[in-house]
Amino acid sequence: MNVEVNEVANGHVQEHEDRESKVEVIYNGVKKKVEFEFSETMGVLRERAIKEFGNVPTPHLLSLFTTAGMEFGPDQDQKTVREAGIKKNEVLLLRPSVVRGG
Amino acid sequence: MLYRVSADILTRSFLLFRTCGAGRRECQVVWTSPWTSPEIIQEVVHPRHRAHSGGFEIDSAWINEFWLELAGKEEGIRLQVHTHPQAAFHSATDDAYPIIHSTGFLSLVIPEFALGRVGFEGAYLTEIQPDGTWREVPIASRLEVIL
Repeated sequence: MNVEVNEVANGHVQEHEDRESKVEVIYNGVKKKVEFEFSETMGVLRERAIKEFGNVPTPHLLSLFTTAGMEFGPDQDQKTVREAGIKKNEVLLLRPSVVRGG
Repeated sequence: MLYRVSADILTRSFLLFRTCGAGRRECQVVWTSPWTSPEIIQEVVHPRHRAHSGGFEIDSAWINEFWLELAGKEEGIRLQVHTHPQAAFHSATDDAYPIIHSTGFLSLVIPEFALGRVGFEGAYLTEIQPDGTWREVPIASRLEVIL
C-alpha cells in the first residue's frame, strides 16, 4: 500500500515539477527565474525571458545563450525547449548575439 | 539617472584606450556599478575584443563569462565607452550592436582614439529611447566626474 501511495505520490510530484519547470536567466547582472514547458518553443521562452527584464525595445536583437556558449536567437525560435536540450534549473544568459562598434 | 564617475576611472579608461588602441585602433570599455547603488560607477572593465581602425567586436565567449561575473557580484553595466579615430558620434553599427539593449542605456564615444586630454571634450553621449532609437543627451545631464 505504501509503495502504491509512494508511486502515486512520486508520479504526482514529477507531474507537478514538469508544470513548474524553470530556468534562471541572467541579463546585465540580474537573475530571474523564468517558467517554461518543454513543449514550448524557444521563441516563447526567449520572449518570456525578455519580458521579465522589462524595458528592452529591441528584443529581436537578444538571444539566449547556454553557459557553454550555445546560442538560441530568433533563428532558433521554432525549436522546442526539449529539442534545444534545455534542462530544468539551467542557467541561461540573455545577451546580444553580437557586440560591435565602428 | 546622473551617474557619478571618479576621475581615476575616467583616467584609467583613457589609459586603456591608448594602450590597447595605440592611436591606430578603436577600443571599448564598460563602466559598471552595483545594483545596490547603480549611480556610483565602481569599475572600468576592458572586454576581450578584436579591433581595427574603423571598429571592434567583443569576443562572444568573454561576454558569457562577464555575464556570469556580473551576476555573481550583483553588478550591472551602466555605460559603454569607445573610441573613434576622429570625431565622436554614434555610427549605424554603434546603434545596432550595443552590449545592453535596455531603455536608458548610455553609450559614450571619445574622439581621436582618446589621445587628447582626459575628459569629455569633443565626446558624444547617446541614450537608448523607449522605441529603441538612440538620442544624443548632454553629457552633464548623465555624467558627473568626482574626485
